[in-house]
Amino acid sequence: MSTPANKTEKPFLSARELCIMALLTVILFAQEQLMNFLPNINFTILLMVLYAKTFGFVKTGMIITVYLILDATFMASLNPIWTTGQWIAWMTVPLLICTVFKKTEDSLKLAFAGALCAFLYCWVMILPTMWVLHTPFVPYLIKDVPFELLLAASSFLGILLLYDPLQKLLKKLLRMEG
Amino acid sequence: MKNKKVLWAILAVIVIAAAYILIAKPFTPKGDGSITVKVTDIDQKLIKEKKIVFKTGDKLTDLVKNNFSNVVIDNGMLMKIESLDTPSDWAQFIAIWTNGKLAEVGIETLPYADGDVLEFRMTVNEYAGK
Repeated sequence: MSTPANKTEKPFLSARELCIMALLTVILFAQEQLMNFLPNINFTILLMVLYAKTFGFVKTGMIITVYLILDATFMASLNPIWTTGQWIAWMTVPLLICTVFKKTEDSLKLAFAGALCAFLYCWVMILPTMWVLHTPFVPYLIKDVPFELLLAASSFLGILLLYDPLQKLLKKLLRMEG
Repeated sequence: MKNKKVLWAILAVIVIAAAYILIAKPFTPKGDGSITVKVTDIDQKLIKEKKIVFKTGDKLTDLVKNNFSNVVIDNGMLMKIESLDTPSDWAQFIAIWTNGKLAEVGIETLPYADGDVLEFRMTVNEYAGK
């Protein structure tokens, strides 16, 4: 039975917020596709950090899940082991940002957090890659280092330069909610 | 604080450039020699075999393009060679084998030496669409 108090409670997800989240999911997917010609250089972690800071863990998890299904379907890599591994790897971003770095707002510190997330993502992905592609561990680990550096450095740079203006923009967009 | 951020940004750009060069730098042999290159279909039936003579500094991509027809290399990946064609859904792909071992890198950075046997083999992509 509803009471007058919970009648005025803000819903978990408003229609407007849902639309904005859908748009942000498309941006996450589109930027990765647009930057696909560059090896491991993208703004995926920047956007995930931004979304996690703005929407929190659960809603960012929803964005990541939809993005991952879209990405895996488009890239023909929808595989239970690979995609689950990728989901776990990507979920480390909002998990860390919403726990360890919950109170961090400085873009330099968040840039380091983003770089850490990039390395974690790459390391978590070693296991499903070995499983699915039968890749030997040591050669993969060695050959992956420059790719890890590219993802970490591009995420670091993206967060350092773009996190503050994008956060202002996103907050402005969300404040327009009536 | 702003100066600190600028310095970190410069460092990040240097790391990106260095890592990119490391990845994108094509392999070139340090001596002359010859390699045998085979193209095989999904049933490992030989489509074409050719012995290719190379010189110091020759890129494998150029050697393959000059000695085989219908060669398409996209984003470092061999997409087409002779009658082999990677389908758009990636259900099959052209795997590279060096001396009977599956190559760990793509065609642009694949090391090769005198007497090596390379094979471009159409392979079922076991992890696509499962």
